[in-house]
Amino acid sequence: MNVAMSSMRDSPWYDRWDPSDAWSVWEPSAADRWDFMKVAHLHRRAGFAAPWDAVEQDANRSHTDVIGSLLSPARTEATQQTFEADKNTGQILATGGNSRQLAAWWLLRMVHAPEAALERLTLFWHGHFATSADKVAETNLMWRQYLSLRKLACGPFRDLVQEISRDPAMLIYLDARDSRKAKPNENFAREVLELFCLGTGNYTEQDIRELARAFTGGGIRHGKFFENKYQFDEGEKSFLNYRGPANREQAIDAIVDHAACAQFIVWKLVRQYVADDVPRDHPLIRHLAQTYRDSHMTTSVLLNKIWSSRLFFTDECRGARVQGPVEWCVGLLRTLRISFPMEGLAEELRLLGQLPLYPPSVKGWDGGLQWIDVRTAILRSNLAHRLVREGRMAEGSPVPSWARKDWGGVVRELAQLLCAQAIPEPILDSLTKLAEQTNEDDQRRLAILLGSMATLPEFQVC
Amino acid sequence: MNSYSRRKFIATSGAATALSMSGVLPQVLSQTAAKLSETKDMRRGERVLVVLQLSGGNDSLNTLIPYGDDGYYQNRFTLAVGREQVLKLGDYCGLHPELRPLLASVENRRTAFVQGVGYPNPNRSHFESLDLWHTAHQMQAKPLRGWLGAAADRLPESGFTPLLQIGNEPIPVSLLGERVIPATLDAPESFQRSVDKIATASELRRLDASVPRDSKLLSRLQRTNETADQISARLRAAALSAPRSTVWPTTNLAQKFKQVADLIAADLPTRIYHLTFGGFDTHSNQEPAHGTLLSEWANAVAAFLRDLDEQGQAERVLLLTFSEFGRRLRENASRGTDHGAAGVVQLSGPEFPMPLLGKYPSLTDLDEGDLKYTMDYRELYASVLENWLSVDSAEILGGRFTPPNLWINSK
Repeated sequence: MNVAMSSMRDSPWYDRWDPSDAWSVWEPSAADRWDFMKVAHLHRRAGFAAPWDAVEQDANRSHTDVIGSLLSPARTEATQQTFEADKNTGQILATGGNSRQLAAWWLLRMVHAPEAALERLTLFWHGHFATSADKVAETNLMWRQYLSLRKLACGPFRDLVQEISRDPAMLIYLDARDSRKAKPNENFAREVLELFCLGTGNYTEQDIRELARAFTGGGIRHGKFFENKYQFDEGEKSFLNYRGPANREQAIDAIVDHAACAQFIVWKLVRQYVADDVPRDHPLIRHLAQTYRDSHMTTSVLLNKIWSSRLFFTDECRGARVQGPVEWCVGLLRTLRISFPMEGLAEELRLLGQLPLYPPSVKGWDGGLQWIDVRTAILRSNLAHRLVREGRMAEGSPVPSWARKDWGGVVRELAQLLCAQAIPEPILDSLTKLAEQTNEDDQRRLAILLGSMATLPEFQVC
Repeated sequence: MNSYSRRKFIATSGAATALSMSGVLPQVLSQTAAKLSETKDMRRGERVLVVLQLSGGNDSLNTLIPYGDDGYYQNRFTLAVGREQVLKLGDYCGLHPELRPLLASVENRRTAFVQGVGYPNPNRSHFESLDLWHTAHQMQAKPLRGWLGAAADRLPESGFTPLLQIGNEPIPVSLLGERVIPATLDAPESFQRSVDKIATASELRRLDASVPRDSKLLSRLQRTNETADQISARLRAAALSAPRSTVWPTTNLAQKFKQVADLIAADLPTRIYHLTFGGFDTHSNQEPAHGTLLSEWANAVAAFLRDLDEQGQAERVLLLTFSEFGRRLRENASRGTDHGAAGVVQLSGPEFPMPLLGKYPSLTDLDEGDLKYTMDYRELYASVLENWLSVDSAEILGGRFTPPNLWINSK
């Protein structure tokens, strides 16, 4: 082995990829088919883990159709009706309920919604533009922010930031209402630069102070955004590459046009959809940032490129992310078609560290390895056990071998649906033995099996 | 040399003398010696540090009250505690009446308060001041690490996680290390996997720990799992150990302390525990909220110290309670207090020469309305690192800070 090869082997996986090669379109071939495993991976990543028959069905469709319809699946009359009824329930909770209930409702929608990828993307934007109901007491405002994020999730990033800069829940959360000419509030300006658009290192404290002046005069009246022109600072501002009398909208435009913006957002999307560990200024990110800019930062275009790419379907990419608590248990419930009381699940998710609508800070959820420590490792296993044991399973078989009571088959089929990386053979055998030797009814047996599978590292990554 | 190591010294030198006198140690004697060296407090050697964080900025002026200073009464026009209610420690300051549960321990010289602890150029942001306390002013270090994580990196390897947070908060920056993996535990029932009650599941756990994984991520998760298994097993063993008689309050904080006490009783090799107790950001209507917090704190600590005494472990546990800053001397218009600077640190465990350590800051010579520090918190850290955990502090603190002798027989 020569020196060059050995240093290649020691370098991180992402350094071994040529960016244009990595993001080129993947084409199926005889040696590398569009198969069950790829579909299962796509669902786990783009949306949530899917049940057996849904994966099988998509394996028989063309891969371009499957990927292309992820963010906008065709609605049938039945799914349209479910959607409307479901939205109505959300509306009722938003005006007459509390944010904990609304979070439980959102989880229910994630489990049942046909638009899994869109809910997943909305959850991503919620973590990005993090706002917590712990501080925003009005559930209705959290609800309206959710609707805005969902409506604008796939479109140009600029529209999202423009909307969020006038979003009442966000302005309350960052103490940014009633920012006055005489005393501009810098909090919102800081977070727009640091957390929402550019990332650290791309702006100065002086940029923050100048930008804050462009955001003066904004406030909330009767739950709606309101501009008080007497409190707006009309003077010249100078931040980033901008010089001029910018108002709120013009300031946001200037920030989104900054070269660092596309790269920062692409980096965060790659962490969410590809791998936890690609550095922010890596060629893989820079290459994709150009694609993003070329499409006016239209997120659906970027995601389709990621999901269609060669890199996305490689073994290196599989299992390169630690699953967040929400995707983890929503995927489990979807795959096994289990109904479980969602307020109970919301409490479990709080303990696991990811209760929607309650991010820990404006930084959102850090994710990655931080999701799993000794406490949450044990909690995850216990939750998997509890969801199956106490939930209601739909009629029929969750996986084909279930009907034949072939536990070895059940173990392997579940692993295909839920685990991105292969569980070593001896462990699969041990799991089979465990299920066979358990003297319980089938559902409890399955609960013990899932609780045991959930102790394995393969069960935590995707 | 403290009393523990003195006894250990006598025991070992005694056995050595017997050996040299007879040449061959009679079996009975050697058994006695073995038994001797295995008495409770000798077998359980290593010192433990428990750090309690009062989040939000505890009002030190209403914790350790300068009742002998008119300045206090002039600035705390609604929030001042009356002279007659203060639990006096000398003729200048004393404890808030809700801290009465700590009095016994203060009188036994097992609890002391360090006055005026802070740092230059005080930062009044919760987030940033906590970062300073957590990293010992080393925010620029790459990778980011905390003072406790860095200390644990330098402790002798025990094959077991040296750092544990009790609670369900995210891991605090103070516990991040370069080598060690900090762990978090909360309710006792969550210490055990439901499936671990099944005999065949233990075979699975053994297999999972022993089958090597290719991916770095999977191996890392495998190590976390292994730690979980170890802790779980230790705790189950501990549940079988002799019950103790301490009556614990039912508050969250007391239950966290109880878990630390249980883990210490279980002989866990963990050296550093971290607990968080929040709610101290008392900008408006500070009373009775602050008094309630102090009461919960004092009752929990008192029960913890009683339990350690009963276990015979009190000598090897140091408790350090801090907050990211104190609060402004002058109360605000909402019967509350705003973010301040220097505060008070509480210590329990070893024997202290006096209940008040350091110097109370002046109430007239102020820094933008806040108390000026009289002891840099990094000097306090230096004492804890050098004299309690026996690790070198210079690298961790980014410089040499002279450790004050806070407790008797510091070295």
